Amino acid sequence: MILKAAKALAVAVLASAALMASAASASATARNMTESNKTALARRTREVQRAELFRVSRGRMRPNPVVFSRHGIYQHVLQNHDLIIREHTDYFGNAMARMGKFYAERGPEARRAGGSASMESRMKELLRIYDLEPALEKCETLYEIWLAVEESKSAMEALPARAAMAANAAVWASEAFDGNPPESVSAKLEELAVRWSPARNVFEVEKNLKELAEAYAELFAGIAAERGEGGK
Amino acid sequence: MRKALVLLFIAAALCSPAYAEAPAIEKATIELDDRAVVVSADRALLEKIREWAVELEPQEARGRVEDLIRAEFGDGVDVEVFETGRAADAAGAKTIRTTLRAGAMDGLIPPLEGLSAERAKSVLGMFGFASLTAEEFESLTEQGRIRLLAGARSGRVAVIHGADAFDAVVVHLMPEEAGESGGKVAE
Repeated sequence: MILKAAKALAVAVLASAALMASAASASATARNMTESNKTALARRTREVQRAELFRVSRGRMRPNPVVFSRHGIYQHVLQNHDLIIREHTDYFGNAMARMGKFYAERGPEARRAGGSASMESRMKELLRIYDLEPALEKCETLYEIWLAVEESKSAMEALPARAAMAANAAVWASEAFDGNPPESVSAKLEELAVRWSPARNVFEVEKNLKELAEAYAELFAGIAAERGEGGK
Repeated sequence: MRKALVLLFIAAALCSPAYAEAPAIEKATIELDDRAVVVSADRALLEKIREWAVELEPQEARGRVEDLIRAEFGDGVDVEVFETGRAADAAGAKTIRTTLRAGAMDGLIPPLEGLSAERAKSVLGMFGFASLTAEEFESLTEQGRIRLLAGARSGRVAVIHGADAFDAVVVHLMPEEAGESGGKVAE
């Protein structure tokens, strides 16, 4: 009994240490990335604003800002850089905390999930999503800049749920095949783990998550049907 | 001729028990402080057992009621013991109420979102869950529910209320599954 408790404690300590190390390195990287996001947003906004003014005024620079149909967004992107970056960073912190909690609570079997479902892979994906620079480089209008920020926030919002779905599915698949799922199932799990369509708001996030959850359910229903499992 | 008649009479006498109507087996539940016992026997014997159970001292019966029944009424009585406490509330089973989405994300149940009841049952069956719909569970008698909970092969029973992400699912975990000691049913 004591031996068992000691073993469980040792595993918990090791897991926490691994998680803290991972989270600490993610935080350090995030701090730098917050600055680079801020710089990229300011730079790209300036460039795009100039281009937009030039384009909409047919070559004539006007003293007043151009009023667009999406005026609110236009002003917001132009004026509230700090607010946008702070909100964006809040989403990052929230996603990191939720993922850390999930991997800490779900136990070693979830942390053993391989490929894109692994904790390391998810933390890397979080940083990739948090990095606004590549997405901002492609933006041609202020509206697109706003969309890029919203898509990044939505992706960070959904990532812990996707991580939980992927890790749990890997655990269930492992249980179904006695720890050795066939290649076809592993490939499908990997495909589902990285599947994500850009979403700009909570409704699109929910739609994506629903599709993803149903795809996982279909995968297991297919496995059950192949085995001829009947309901009890 | 007389010899033949005697033989016929003997043969008829020997065969008659085979054609006699077997007494109908009925069930009765004896509830004690620490366990419930389902006894299967014919009506007459059940009456005797009932009368005997009324006189039973709780302290004397604690933990050995099945032995006492067998000692008193023989091995022919079918005794099923539910050690999880009072049969009326199937105490001992840990019940978790969640939703299909939340349950799947917590790793409590496999992914079932969007599946029909039959397909969801087949997925749950693959992982050793006993499963049924809310309507099926509601239609069970109290004793039927206890049998279901106690007899679940992996100690997990899922009652599903629908196919939507936020439809309820109630998962009953037996003591072993919930990480507690204690038997379900004494075999």
